[in-house]
Amino acid sequence: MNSIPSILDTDIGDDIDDVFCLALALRCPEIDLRAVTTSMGRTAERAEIVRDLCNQANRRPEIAAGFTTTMGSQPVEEWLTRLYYPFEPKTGEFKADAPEVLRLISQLPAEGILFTIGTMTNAAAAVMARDRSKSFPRIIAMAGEFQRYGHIEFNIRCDPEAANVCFTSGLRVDLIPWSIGPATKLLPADIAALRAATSPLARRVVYYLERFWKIVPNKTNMYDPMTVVAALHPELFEWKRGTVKVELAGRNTYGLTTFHAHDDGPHRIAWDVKADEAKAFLVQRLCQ
Amino acid sequence: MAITVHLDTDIGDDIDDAFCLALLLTSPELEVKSITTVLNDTALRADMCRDLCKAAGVSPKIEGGAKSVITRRPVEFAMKRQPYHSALNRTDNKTNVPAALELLTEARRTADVLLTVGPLTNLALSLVADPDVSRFPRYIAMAGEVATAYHAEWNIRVDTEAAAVVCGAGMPIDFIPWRIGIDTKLSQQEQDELDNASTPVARVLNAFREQFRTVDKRQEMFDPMTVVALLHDDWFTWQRGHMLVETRAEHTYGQTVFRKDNNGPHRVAVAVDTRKAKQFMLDRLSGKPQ
Repeated sequence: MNSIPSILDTDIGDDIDDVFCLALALRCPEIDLRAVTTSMGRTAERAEIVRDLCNQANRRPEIAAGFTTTMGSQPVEEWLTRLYYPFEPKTGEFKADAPEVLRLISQLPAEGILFTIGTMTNAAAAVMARDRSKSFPRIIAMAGEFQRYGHIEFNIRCDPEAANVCFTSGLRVDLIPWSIGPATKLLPADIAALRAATSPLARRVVYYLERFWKIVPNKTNMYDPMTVVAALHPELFEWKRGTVKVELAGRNTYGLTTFHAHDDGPHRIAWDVKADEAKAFLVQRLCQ
Repeated sequence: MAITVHLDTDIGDDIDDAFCLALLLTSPELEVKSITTVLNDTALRADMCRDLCKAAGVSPKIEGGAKSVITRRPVEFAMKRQPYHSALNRTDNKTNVPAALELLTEARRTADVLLTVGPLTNLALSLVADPDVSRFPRYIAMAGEVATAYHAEWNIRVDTEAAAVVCGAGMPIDFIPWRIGIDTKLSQQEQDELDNASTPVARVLNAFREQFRTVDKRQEMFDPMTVVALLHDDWFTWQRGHMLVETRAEHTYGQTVFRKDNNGPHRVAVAVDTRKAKQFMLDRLSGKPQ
């Protein structure tokens, strides 16, 4: 099987699941990870974490720091400045370079996958800048929520306008919604298995997890890694096809996502997941 | 002395409004002082109320209220809907919005309890005419939804602007949201039990139910839970806060957003002891001693 040309766009440094997602992508020979791009606020510092994890895996994808701001119309200063586990000591290797992010995404072939697991600002800019004479790669996004009342999912909430650009583009987007994350929460036995793993990458994942837990204790919801699991094992998910919309006009519902099911919609949402099997795949790959 | 109640209802649509009024009329603690009807053919809806009241041997003041809605968003889905059941006896009474608003004004001044189980147009008009809520009855509304993702509940969706006026008016409101009705849906056995009831009120209710069954099968008990909540507050789990109505949105217009706040003016029922609530209602409607 040919490996899938891929780019991972991440706000790593926030919730810990981005670390797990990047580590999984680095551990999957089915994924040809050509670049990792960072979004949201302190993107240069996020890129340093990416470099660190890639080094541990002895992999050398292109790394670029993306947009430091968002397209959204509401202030998100708190999230733009937040970084739970920066790489220490700082290397200063990266500077925010949004044009480089757009260049990298533009080079991703149509059969590739753009994974977006943070705010969709970079992806939206790439969608707007795309060469319309060519097909755009498939997007798999950790974004939105469709089952939990009133829940405005974080990646959408940080930049609803960007998400709207992606969802109204007519491009194919598969979504891993918020509710898949708690369903695939890692349990103590999973963490114990990870602690017992001897690879430098697995050890580094545990290192970042422990730093994250000092601020957000015990959180192990696996939202983001499920994008990679879904790319390789879509049969582990129950999919619904239709159209996702982002509320941009609501006073109380700005950023809320809605889903209208229909057979020819451009979007698929993961409605349910075989959680044990999906987690087993993730943990097994990380522990290899 | 009985607790005096004003009911504002869109009876004739879903069958639960008829259950609600029938339960009011078979509750000896309560005295239905006045009724207003809302949405479309409110004169016909008022006659349906008269059928049930006549069977109960009471004659509260009844007026047909607002036929249209305040919202300017398209609500043809509601305005074009034909009634699911009709009045057994038609009268010459016409829709009379000023008289309906007078009844509501009087109820706001004197009634112990206000129940609204339809779109909130009449009450919003009343509040626009007189925003003073320093004296307001205990108010329970079947409206909104706080558990199901992006569900714009019917009574709010049909007249979202009216709902926003009511929710923002400042008086305390207890909400029976959509989910409570789903949770108290009648089983076939419970429906059969009611089929055999022979009190005068039950006979009229069953005549309505028979008509309703020819067009719709739903048996969710949204509206009568306002009456159960009035009489058995402790059977419900309540959360206090602010019920907000989304009036600006494009895709989520008419949705309710509930913000928890221990000092908020609103309470919303998030759970109910369904067995007790349904049995209480069925026993009352069937005339069983309690």
